[in-house]
Amino acid sequence: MIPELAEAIDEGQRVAKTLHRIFTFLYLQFAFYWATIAAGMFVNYYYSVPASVQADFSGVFSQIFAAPSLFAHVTFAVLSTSMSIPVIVYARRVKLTSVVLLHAGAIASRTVGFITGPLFVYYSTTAISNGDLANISTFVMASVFLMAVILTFLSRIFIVREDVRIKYLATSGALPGSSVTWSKPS
Amino acid sequence: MEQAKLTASPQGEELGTLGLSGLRLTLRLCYLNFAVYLAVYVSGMYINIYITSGVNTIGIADPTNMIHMIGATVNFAISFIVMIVGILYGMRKVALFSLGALISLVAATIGGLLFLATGGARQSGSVTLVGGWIMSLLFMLALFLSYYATLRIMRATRVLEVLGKVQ
Repeated sequence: MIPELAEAIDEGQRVAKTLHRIFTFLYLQFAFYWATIAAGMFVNYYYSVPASVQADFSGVFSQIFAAPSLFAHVTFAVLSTSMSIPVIVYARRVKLTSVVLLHAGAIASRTVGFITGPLFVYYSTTAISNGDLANISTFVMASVFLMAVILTFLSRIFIVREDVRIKYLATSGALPGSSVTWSKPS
Repeated sequence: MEQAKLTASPQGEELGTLGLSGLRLTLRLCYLNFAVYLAVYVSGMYINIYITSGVNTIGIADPTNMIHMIGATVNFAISFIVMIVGILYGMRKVALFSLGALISLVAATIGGLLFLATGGARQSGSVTLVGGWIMSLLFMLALFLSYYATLRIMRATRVLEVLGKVQ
């Protein structure tokens, strides 16, 4: 086999392997997104902030462990967000800058959600009892969640593009630097 | 060179018979579908947080509800078109994902109607909440399935573009 071709195939296989690992983490992330929504619906419909909750950090934070639905919601939210970390690591290895940026954006969006979520509990406590701000907090939390979903959805577009590029261009000589010439498949 | 031929052939790809321009048009339709999904999600969130959060109820004729339902109908129509494209032009996975999205949307609509018919507020009772549950979860499932159908179309488009370049 021509050495340049063998090199191109090796490189293509290495990138393809990394891309498939990214796909695995994206599948997990989408599963956790769905679980977050399911648990969020439980919180939305069945959870209300108890009157005994103090309007301070420990009071609000302890609510995460007080209700199973809230605990599940937060856990799945953390898991879905954390799936972006291996995606970023692998995307850096194959120089997919757009994917890195989109997942960094998704993490940033979710961070906003991790602030407004507890704020909802805070504004709903008896001591504060500010319905408007509690509603806005919930609205922001849900909006940034959707933003994160959209950003991670978009990232997959770039990964699929790279997958196709590697599969069809890497060994065809169409990649920059490759001296192998393309022959039309029969 | 033989290796290059094998690696570059579109084996295992579901390219269909629609052609590049048709695929691009379908892809644009799918992107439009996502914009509408977004509008349905935001209007649903608005209803959930600002209208039905307490004892207040929502009726079928409420303007926000109308926007929400029209959006869902557009989602249905676009998903239906994509499914038909998948069936007619030999893209089995696109057709299956779109069919899944359609079934989810129909079941979600039934859930939404159950929510409206049994009181239309979060405090209307457990059946109302079940309706809300069905609506929300199946809407997200429809969104995910439409997304996978879109990815298949995008991949086919990209493969045809790349093969067009190298040939």
